[in-house]
Amino acid sequence: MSNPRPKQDVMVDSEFQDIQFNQDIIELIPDYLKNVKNDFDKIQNAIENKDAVTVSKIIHRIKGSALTYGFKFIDDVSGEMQVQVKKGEFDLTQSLLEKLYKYIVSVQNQLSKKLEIK
Amino acid sequence: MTEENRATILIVDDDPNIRMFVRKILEKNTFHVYESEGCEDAKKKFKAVIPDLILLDINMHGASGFDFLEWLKENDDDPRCPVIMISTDAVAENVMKAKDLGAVDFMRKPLDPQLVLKKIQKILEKNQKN
Repeated sequence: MSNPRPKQDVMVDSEFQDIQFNQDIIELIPDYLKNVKNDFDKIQNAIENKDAVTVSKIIHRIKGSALTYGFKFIDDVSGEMQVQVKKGEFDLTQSLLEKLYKYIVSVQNQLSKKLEIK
Repeated sequence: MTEENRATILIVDDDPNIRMFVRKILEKNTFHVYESEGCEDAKKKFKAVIPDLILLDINMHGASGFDFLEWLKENDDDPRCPVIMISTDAVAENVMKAKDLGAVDFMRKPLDPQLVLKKIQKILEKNQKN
């Protein structure tokens, strides 16, 4: 397969350390991240099928709630994905999807630690 | 506001994360909240719960928020249930179209919890006076 699926055991990237969470909605963030991750398989399949319309629709939704939950990185990367998929750059879109996946895993790990401490 | 006169809000958005966020803000402030992930379900919920106000996304899978507004125009009694549109695409064309179809306000995503509450309360107060 030319576009490998993001691996479940991806390493946490050091550039994603010290993520700040909105304390008012911190208890919603685990479900938020789970919902975003649930969309990744659909995006992956759409990329493999070179289905730009489906990728755009799902990414539009992810981008639509990212800043509401305070995740500028997700907003930025999904915005870039929209640009790339519109140009038909599926390999770049795939790379960005993997970047987003790494970030989500990193956020989940950091959030787990924070919630454990509480 | 007592339990009996708590206002009922219907949130229509295909993004579960937006619905979850809005529910959290509104329930914290004693509103009754119902959710729909699309227009067809929203039509059924609208008839069943008769909401005091609707928060409505524009771009959803299947029918759009504009389609729902058109349906509402035909199917709601006068005065119509107030609708606040919510969208990332807050371009002038969308704002104008929403108002033409009867929406009372427009909010751009990302949603600001304080602004959501402020707008809802203002509209409900205005409706109570009329």
